[in-house]
This record gives sequence, C-alpha cells and structure tokens, in this order.
Amino acid sequence: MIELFDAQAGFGGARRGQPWIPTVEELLGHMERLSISRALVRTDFEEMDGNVPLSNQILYETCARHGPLMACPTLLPAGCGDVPSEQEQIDELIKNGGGAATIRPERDSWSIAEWCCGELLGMLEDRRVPVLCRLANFGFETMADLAGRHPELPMVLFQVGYRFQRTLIPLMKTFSNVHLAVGSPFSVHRGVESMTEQVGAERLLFGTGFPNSDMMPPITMLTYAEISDADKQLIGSGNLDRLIGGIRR
Amino acid sequence: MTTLLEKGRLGESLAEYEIVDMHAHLMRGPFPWQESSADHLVRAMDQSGVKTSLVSSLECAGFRMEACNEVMYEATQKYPGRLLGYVYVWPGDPEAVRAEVERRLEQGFVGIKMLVLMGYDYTYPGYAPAFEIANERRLPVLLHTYGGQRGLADQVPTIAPRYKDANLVLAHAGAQKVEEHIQIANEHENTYLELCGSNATYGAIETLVESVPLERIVWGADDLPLNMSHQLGKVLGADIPEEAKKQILSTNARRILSQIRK
Repeated sequence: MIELFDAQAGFGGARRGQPWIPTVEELLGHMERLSISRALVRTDFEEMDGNVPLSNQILYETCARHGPLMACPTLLPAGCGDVPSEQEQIDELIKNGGGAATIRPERDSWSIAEWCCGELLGMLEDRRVPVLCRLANFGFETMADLAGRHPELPMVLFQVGYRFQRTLIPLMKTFSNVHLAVGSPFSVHRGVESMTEQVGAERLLFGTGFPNSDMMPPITMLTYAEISDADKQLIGSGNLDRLIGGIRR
Repeated sequence: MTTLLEKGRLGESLAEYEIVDMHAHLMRGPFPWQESSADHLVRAMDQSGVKTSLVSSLECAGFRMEACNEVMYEATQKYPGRLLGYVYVWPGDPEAVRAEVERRLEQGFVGIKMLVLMGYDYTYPGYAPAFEIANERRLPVLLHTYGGQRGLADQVPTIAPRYKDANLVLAHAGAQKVEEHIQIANEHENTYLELCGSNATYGAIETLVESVPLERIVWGADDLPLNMSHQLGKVLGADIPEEAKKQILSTNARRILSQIRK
C-alpha cells in the first residue's frame, strides 16, 4: 500500500455563515479510516483566521499531542512590529518541529514586493523551509515573480483547479522550485500522469484538501494513475519527506 | 471481503461492480493532449474498471451541434457498449433540434444533453422538441445544474412537471448549495442527482444520501475534463453503507437505462 503524507490539510478555522469548525479529531478520524499515515496541517478554513499568533500557538500545541500531524504555521512579514520578527517566527517553527510554513498575502493583506516580504522570504529560503501557497492568495504571475526572486525557496502551490494546465505546466517548467499539491480541486483528466510526464513526479505532492473537500478522491486519483509504483510512492509521501528533510534546522 | 473503499485505496479493479458513469464528454479544451478524446476517455475508464460511460460531445465547440454529435456517433461505433451517446442539443432552431434528436436516437444514442452554459435557459423554446421526445421515450436528459447558478432552482421546477416521463439527471449535485438539489429531488420524482464536481465538497455525498431517496442518486465523473478516478473516490470513500455505494455507482443508472422506450 502506498504510504500517504497529506500536504494539503487543515482544521480549526471557520467560514462566515457556516457553523461547522473542522476539528483535529475529525481530521484524524478520516486519516485513520483512509490509511493516511501523516499530515502537514494548517489552520483551515483560513477565511476568518484573523489572529495568526493565536492560531499558530493552537496548531503547535495540537500537533505536539498528535504524532501523525506536523505543523505548517502561517508566517507574516514583521515590518509593523506587531508580530515577532521574521527570525523569531522561523525559529519558533523549527523549535516546534514544523514541516513547512504557509504564507497568505491576499488573506493577511501584505504586499509581495521585496521591500515588504523580502526579509521573510529570504530567511525561509536560507533555511530551505517549504512554503505552502494557496493559488487564490497569489495567482500564477505572483507565484512566478516570487519563485524567480527566491530560486532556492521550495514553494508548494495548492488548491489549483482543473482549468489551468496551460499556465501551470509552463510555470513549473520555468521555475524548478515550484511544486504542486494535487489535492482537490485538482481533478484534472490524466492530471497526475500529464504532470509526471511534463515536470516529473518529484515535483508533485499528495494532498487531500480537507476540510474543503472529501479526502478520498485524491487517493483514488493517485492509486489508479497510470504511473509507476515508484512515482506513486514519491508523490504519496516521498517528495514531502524530502522537502521537509531539506530544512536547515 | 474487500470493500469498495479498500479497493480504491489499493488501486484494485472495480470491474466486477459494472459501474455506470452518467456524465462524460468528448471535448477539446485547455488541456494538453493530442490524441482522440474517445481513446482518452476509455483509457480513464480502464484505470479503475468503469464499465460504461454516457457521453456527450462538445468536441467541435458547442454551437456546431451536428458535428459534435457525429464525433459522438463515431466514438460509440469504436467502443460499443463502453460509450453510450447523449444527443447534444444546441437550441437555436427547434426543427433542426427535432431532426437531430430523432436521427441520433435511430443511430443508438440513449439520452439527451443540454448545457445552460451555452446561453439558453432550459425553458427556451428551442429545447422543447428535445424534451418532448425525451418525455415520449422516457430518456435520461443530462442537465448542467450547478447549485446557485442559472438552470437549477430557477428552471428545473418548471420543466420537471412539464415532462414527467423524462428522467432529468441533475449534474453537479452537492458541489454547492446542496439544499437546492435536495429540495428539487424531493419535490420531483423524475429528477436524479448526479455527483460530479472538481472540489469534492466535504460531506456532500453523506448529506445527499441522508436527504433524498437513495434510488435517485447516480454517479458521474465529468471526465473529460475532470479526473474519473478522482470523482470515483467520492463514492468509494463516503461514510455510507456498502450497498448504497453499489446502488449509486451502478444499479440506479441501470434502472434509468432500462426505462427507455424503444
């Protein structure tokens, strides 16, 4: 059985007008039912996540209690002085065994200009900390801009829909530090196969999309894909393990 | 006994379940492939062992109705029993619609496909001949009905009672505003909820199974352009009884097909 390490999952966030706040117990329950051994977790839904330090604290504490979970906290540019410095945020991530960071310029209202976020991204790049990037927070042009400015920063694009192959493939061919999490809504006809052929299996990460999405569909997209078992294992967990293993702790 | 979930997790064949996909397309789009769409679709079916897909063609762009359906006819000839054709309808000329539907049914097509995204409501007069024939022959009519968009809550309650013998298959049930699909399915016995959608909205399958009669839920993949194996995972992984999964994946669709009047 392919080992699965979910790169696209979260819990503990909320959406406006929706009573359900996905819990870690729900996440772990589904992981056990579907034989997903580990998950890199963010605060999700992110829509109402207006207190990043508090959310990160809860995330770290929760991951410390649950072995299969690894934290992916949200980091912010510290130019206003209202949050710890970039260095302190990254040190905290490392100290808590975090496996990646997430950055959300659109959600958290900061500019991707170098004078605003350059210090944060430069420090993450120096430490080779993978950065998770929800497409809606960036857009492809911004992803390309950041990937070009920080070529040693491992970037993982996620929540990418099925209509973007003509843009996604050239982006990933141009910038070798961009990776793709193939969780929902990446329900693309022969998506795993074509991305493996075009950019290589080592650039693809298994993800589910929970709590936005059911967790099983990306599993069957992978288990039934017409690629080698070795590539399935890379996508299932090997690539994320490699990226996390590359962090200069 | 290995469950459907376990088979999906392991990537094992599902051929023994004789799965019927109620929603597939032949099409070109923003996707990088050169080969025949029909070959691509059958290859996707073979990955997991899906037996039959009901397919409509948008291969030649949706305004070229006859050309699209000709591609579909050729595909059904190449893959008999694997690909069954929906007659795709562009409703600009009612008489052309009637002639096209009658001709394609003679060729063995088994249903009709309408797409509100083409800019015509389902109540548009050009669609009426197709609905009338579907009503006479008790055909499945696949309708794009995304929750919250035109075509569902504003139109299906009008056409469902008007064509009571047509089996209206409402695509994308549960993708958004699941309550709209639930209400319509419970008010109109000739409506069926089909489950495709790229996002695989969390909990949608369980909600639908709890809320509408099980025999009114069918599975479709919307491949192409979506990923058939991804869409299959929604049902395989749903927290519902094993028998309900089989009914959604096969039995209910077969019942709809068995009701067609020759």
